[in-house]
Amino acid sequence: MTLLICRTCPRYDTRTSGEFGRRLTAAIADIEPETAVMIRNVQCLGGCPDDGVVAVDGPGKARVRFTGLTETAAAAVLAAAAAHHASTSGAPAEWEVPAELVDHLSSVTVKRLPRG
Amino acid sequence: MPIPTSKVLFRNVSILDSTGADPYPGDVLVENNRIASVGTVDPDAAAGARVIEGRGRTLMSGLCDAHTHFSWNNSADLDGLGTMPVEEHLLFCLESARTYIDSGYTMCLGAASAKPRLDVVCRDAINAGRIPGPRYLANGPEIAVTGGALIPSITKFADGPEGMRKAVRELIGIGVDQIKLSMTGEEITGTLRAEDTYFSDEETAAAVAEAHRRGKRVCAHARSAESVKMCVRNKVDIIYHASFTDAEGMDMLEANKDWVFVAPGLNWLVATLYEAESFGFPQEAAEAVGYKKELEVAIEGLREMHRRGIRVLPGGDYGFAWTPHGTYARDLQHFVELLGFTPMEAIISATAWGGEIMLQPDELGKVQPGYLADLLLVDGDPLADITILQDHDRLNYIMKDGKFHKEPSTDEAPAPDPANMPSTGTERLVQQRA
Repeated sequence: MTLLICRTCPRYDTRTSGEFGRRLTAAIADIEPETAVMIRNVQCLGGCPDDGVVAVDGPGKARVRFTGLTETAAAAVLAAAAAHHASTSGAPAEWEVPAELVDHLSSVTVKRLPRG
Repeated sequence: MPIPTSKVLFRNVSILDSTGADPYPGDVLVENNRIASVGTVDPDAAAGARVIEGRGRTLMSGLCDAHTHFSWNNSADLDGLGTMPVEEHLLFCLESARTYIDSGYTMCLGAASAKPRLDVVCRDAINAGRIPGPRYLANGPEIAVTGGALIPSITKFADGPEGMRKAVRELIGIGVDQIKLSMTGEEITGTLRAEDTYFSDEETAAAVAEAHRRGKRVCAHARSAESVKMCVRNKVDIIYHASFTDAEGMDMLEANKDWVFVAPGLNWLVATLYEAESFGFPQEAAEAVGYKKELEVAIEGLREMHRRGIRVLPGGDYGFAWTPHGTYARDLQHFVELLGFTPMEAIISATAWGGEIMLQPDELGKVQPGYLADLLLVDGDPLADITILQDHDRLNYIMKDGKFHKEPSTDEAPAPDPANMPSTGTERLVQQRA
């Protein structure tokens, strides 16, 4: 399962840019997830106005983004990644978004394939 | 007195050479700014080299973005590209150049500049070694006809064949490498439809003829079916977007695939449709103006282009708030997941074909002897998971023109002594093959 963590949040505050990613990555390292998670520290996930952004993604599955998080959400983020990974399409209708993250869901990017 | 040769030996790497061959273990020797040998390295040739222990990591070519805008300033709206004062705008461009090479992109083709000389100045500064950045082919402001500008404040207006010739001459005069024509609309404008074409055949022909006469190529913002055909008829070298290519246009592209490039800028469509709400453009609005339909049609067409062997390259329009700089490698994921490219095909399109679109097919985009040493040492296998390339931490080493742009200090090894060489990847490879 793939977890994308923004490495620049808060992107437009040069003094603290990157802190969210470092703190969340450290918090995740302190947890031993049941399923191996592939963390991708990506440049940005485009949710900047509400910084503290992650996304769960996977081949052929919807990319689901959460914004406005802090490192205290590490366990919930891992749970979301595992649930997303276990689902077929990745669309949140198919898996249970952890209660802590429900209000932070900010986009669902469908892997749209050709019609028919 | 001869100038001493600078040597770097990447030892025990998995060589992803962009020829289409499966990665294979071996060593790669760089001498000065070129790749000297690949696979099996003569220990004598490697004497005195700085050694980077690959430990099985992937060594591959630097990447190419075929649709680059240094001056797209991560604005949350189109007008934001035009309102930034030139001083701040130049600083932003310098940061963009650095972000590209930080992201593993060593080749970029400029697809328009928001102010006349921003691209040109950045290219020259990169080439002079004054700032870090990719190899860059610079563009100027995009040319549009009256009433057909996507962002009037950053557009060079021209009408009629004579107007086109004059505009092209002026842009060549400031030093651009290619010319950009903005031929169709863009749905986010709210008024200019993607399926509408604003250029005439005569205007396109005049612009291309004038550019080609001066040895410059032409690229075009061309979303509509008619604009794609107009591009091919008039020998526009690089077609951007091509979302609504129809059957006739597809046949024309295939018949001319030896010279034409398509760079769809796919992430713009994906992110604008699904991920721009944080910046005031919700999915419902994007669907209402047509982005859902365009994405579906574009994917269908681009898959067909891929089946027909038309060169479709990643890269495109990064530099808006929801498609920010530094996320360029997401295009490769789209190519694999949406367009049906294998990871190998996606990487070849971003490397070997990158060398072709940069007009240096015999020296850029491959890990081959004689090629310029633009290399990435990647922690992981991008063929197994293409998203690795989105993670800058996985790009352990970035080299351009034989010089490291990024180099951690943890992988150093003593310079090889030909009389007492340790067991290297080369030796093991030779033993395996014996």
